[in-house]
Amino acid sequence: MAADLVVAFDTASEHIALAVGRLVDKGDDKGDRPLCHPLCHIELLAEDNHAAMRQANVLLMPSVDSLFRDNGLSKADVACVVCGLGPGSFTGVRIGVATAKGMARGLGVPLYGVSTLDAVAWETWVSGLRGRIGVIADAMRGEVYPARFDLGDQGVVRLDSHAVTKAEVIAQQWVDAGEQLLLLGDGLGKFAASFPFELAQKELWTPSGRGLLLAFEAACASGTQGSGEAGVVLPVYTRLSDAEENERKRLASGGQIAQGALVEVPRSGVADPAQLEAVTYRPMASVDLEQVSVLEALSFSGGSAVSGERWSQEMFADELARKDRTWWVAYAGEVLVGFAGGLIVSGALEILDVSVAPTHRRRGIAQALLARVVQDGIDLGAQSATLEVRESNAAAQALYVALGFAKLGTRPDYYAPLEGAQREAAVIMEKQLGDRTTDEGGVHDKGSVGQKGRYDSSHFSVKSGTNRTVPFVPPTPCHAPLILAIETSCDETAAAVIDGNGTLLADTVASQVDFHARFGGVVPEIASRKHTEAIVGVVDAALEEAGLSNWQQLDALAVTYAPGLIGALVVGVAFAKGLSWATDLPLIRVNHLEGHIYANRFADNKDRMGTVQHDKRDRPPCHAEPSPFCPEPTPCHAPIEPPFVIALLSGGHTMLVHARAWGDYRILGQTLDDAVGEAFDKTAKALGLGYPGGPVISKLATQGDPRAIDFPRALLHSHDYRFSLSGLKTAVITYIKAEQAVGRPLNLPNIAASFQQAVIDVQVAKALMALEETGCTTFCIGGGVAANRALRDAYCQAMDSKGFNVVLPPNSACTDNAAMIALVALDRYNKKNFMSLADDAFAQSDLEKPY
Amino acid sequence: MSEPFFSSSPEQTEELGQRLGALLRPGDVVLLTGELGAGKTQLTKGIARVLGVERPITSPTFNLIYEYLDARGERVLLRHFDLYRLEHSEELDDIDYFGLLEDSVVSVVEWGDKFPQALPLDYLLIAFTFEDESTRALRFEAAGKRSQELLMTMEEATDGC
Repeated sequence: MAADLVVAFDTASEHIALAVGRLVDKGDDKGDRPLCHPLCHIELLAEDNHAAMRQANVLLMPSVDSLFRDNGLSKADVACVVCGLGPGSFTGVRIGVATAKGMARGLGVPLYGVSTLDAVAWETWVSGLRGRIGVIADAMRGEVYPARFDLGDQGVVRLDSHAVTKAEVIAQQWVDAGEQLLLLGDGLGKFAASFPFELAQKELWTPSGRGLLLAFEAACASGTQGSGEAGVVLPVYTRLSDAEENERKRLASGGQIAQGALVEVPRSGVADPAQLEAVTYRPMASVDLEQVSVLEALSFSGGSAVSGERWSQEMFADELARKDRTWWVAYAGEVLVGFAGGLIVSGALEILDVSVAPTHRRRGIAQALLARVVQDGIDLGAQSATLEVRESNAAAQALYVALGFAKLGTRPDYYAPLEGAQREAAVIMEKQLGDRTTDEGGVHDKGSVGQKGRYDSSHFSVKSGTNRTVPFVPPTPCHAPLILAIETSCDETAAAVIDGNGTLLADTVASQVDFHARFGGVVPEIASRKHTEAIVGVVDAALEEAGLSNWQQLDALAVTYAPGLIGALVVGVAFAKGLSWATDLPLIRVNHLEGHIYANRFADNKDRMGTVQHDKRDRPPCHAEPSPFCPEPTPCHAPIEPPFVIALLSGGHTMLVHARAWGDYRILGQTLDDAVGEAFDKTAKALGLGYPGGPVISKLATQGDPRAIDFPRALLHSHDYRFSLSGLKTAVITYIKAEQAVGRPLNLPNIAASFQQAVIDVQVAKALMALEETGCTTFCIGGGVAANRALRDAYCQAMDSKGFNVVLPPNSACTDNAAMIALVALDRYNKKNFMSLADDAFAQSDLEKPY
Repeated sequence: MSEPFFSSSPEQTEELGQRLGALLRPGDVVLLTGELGAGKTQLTKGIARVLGVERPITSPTFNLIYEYLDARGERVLLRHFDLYRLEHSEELDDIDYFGLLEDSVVSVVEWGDKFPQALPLDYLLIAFTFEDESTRALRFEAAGKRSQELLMTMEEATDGC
């Protein structure tokens, strides 16, 4: 029997909604149809809805597991996964979506998303209520996500698209419109008093598993269920910043609000304040859609649009889900000022739309957007580009000619009349895109992966879609156990595969993955949102790099569970739990800081394994560049075994740890205020240098005198292992202000060198003290700051003179990565130390406590 | 805007934090603003101490949020945010900023006025400025009923100090 179960859940509210249903084909011809089609019906088999109380990550997977067990259902029969996309609690939605992605990828089935509000409406419908309802979900800050629905005998019709608004504002709007509504939704807990409408019984305020299945069935019936591609299912991000909101209103009103409202600038020869804003470009994402549709409406009415018809927000949303499309947006600050997109079909790129806000025209934005669309077209195999433009729009035609387009012909009566009654012709223009072929830098060659550098981004690009079946090439010699590790503790989404020998078969970070080639979409810049969007692509890329084609080739999964940015950690943990349940692979949780300790093993990996054939890092020897203090790389190749002392130095941590054994750590001391990396960043900012501060300060410092300014060495003589860097930061700022006050120019190299030296002196002195006091003879470092050259040299010099052994991980292993998580996981696998489906992520953790 | 408070040392700033901390109730939101090194974290240390936090208060710049629990590890006493690293107001949603501010826990937010369009509904804002090398002025501003009450109590309690 074919798989026919649908598992659906939602954690966007403070409730878990969960159900399993069975797909039934209502068609009597028993034709060969895709999984979800207008004739499919879903029969409810089992349901479990209960309160989550901010514990969704703890409760969801055990609930799913119980539902299957208690009802004798088999996960092998799951045909697809459906999850609620919100709007709702941001952490809640992320947990649900990440879990669903892990589950769908693990089961190898499609993932579909439905609106949480729709699920509430459908539950109300199936309970027998009819008429108009209003669903009010809590959006915090006095705001709600409102939507009206009509419940008729045939089903549910949504009357509003997703939006966020003040509770009183929407209440007044509905009153003014003379609405007669029955109200429900979890936002009523706070805002019921604002709405002079009848309230439904409380049981109907939250989504249900049954409601999710019905909402999904309705989506199938209308063909709007989406592509099923797990990588592109994203939460509903509804809230716009006020800046965006103002711009949206401004654009909607035809740009009549004064331009000066955007930025206040002195009028000294600057004609247009907009010229001062930097414009940034990125691929279009769902967050952009509302502004895009407003700009589209504006451009259309102004006659500048390329497209022959005005596109709705839904049409743009549909575009984003397609793999053969490319769409880019331009932002000035937080305001969308332009977009462009195209369709690639049989080797030709058809430009579908180009729009630039009237306030931002003649700044090269259209040109820059087109260049990106064209580049994508080339990457996706297009050899020519075509577009259509109004015959009367001479300015646009001139632009396209300047970009290399030539007139190909005209299409009479193509455009609706701008004014008057005459329809207008379209001029068709074309440009040849050269002879680059799709093979260039494309599908990667298994035989040569080992020789490619870690930062070769073309290495990961794949031309096909995501449901690839990669032929299994055994990565010989490949020793059990094989473990996939996932790390999302901060800004970078990462995955790695390791074998029983500690050999890395894959080591991938999101910034290397060509998401555009993978999904026809890209990951936005926002850090923790990024994980939800990137995780499927990063994991797929790691599996592919390791030459794995199915989950059962792996022995275990691992994930960073603490410490770090909680909103980021939950994504990795939720995804890994969904994946673990789906694949029956045991899951190992790893402390991020322990990962940094283990990263020192990469320094001696070469010796332990006797081969670097499958070492994807292509690690240089420890001291790849000659150093006056550590000319011999010998310490780096010595086997590393505890006991040793390690300094963990990063943007978020500054501590000295005594590693007594693997897994047995004592924190000797840590910072009382700022971390070392943070001190570098903030000092760089005070000096007017860029971010991140570490590299820029160390570079400047090489030209300066480290003894020029006597900055404080806080706690240097405290005879303990506490650090304090806040005072040093303040001292640098005070120094800068004093110099500026007397009108002396700042000697940046000297300030940088003196600041860095103050940091180094304290770090080195305390490290030496720790070695002497613990009796350890080996010293290691970990964390992003461990890549600082001057610090590494200072440690080596001081330790060498005292006869201590220094082990420095390669720079690539100092920053956050999943390889180090995989190394820890290997040890924990051998000890059978697994995590349960009820384990959660934690922002803080105690490194001393075994876990 | 009321009369500023003055502090001439990190210790005085911390003490001012203690005085404020003693008046805070779960759910209160304190936003801190001012240049690097002005004493925002120092003030938070005072607040934390009076709320019964035992662990050292370290800068949340990198992690964006630190949560401090009571000695039993059961109840959250203080959430310490830092918006310094954020670039767009949408990122506030990524850390569930508005949801967490509405919890019944004291919230202290460094660089709390970074996104003027994303101010909470009720908050006490403390703006730090450098008067000279060692002196800082702390100007208080309240929005919303609860924070206005809080500011009045704070001024009465310190009247004549």
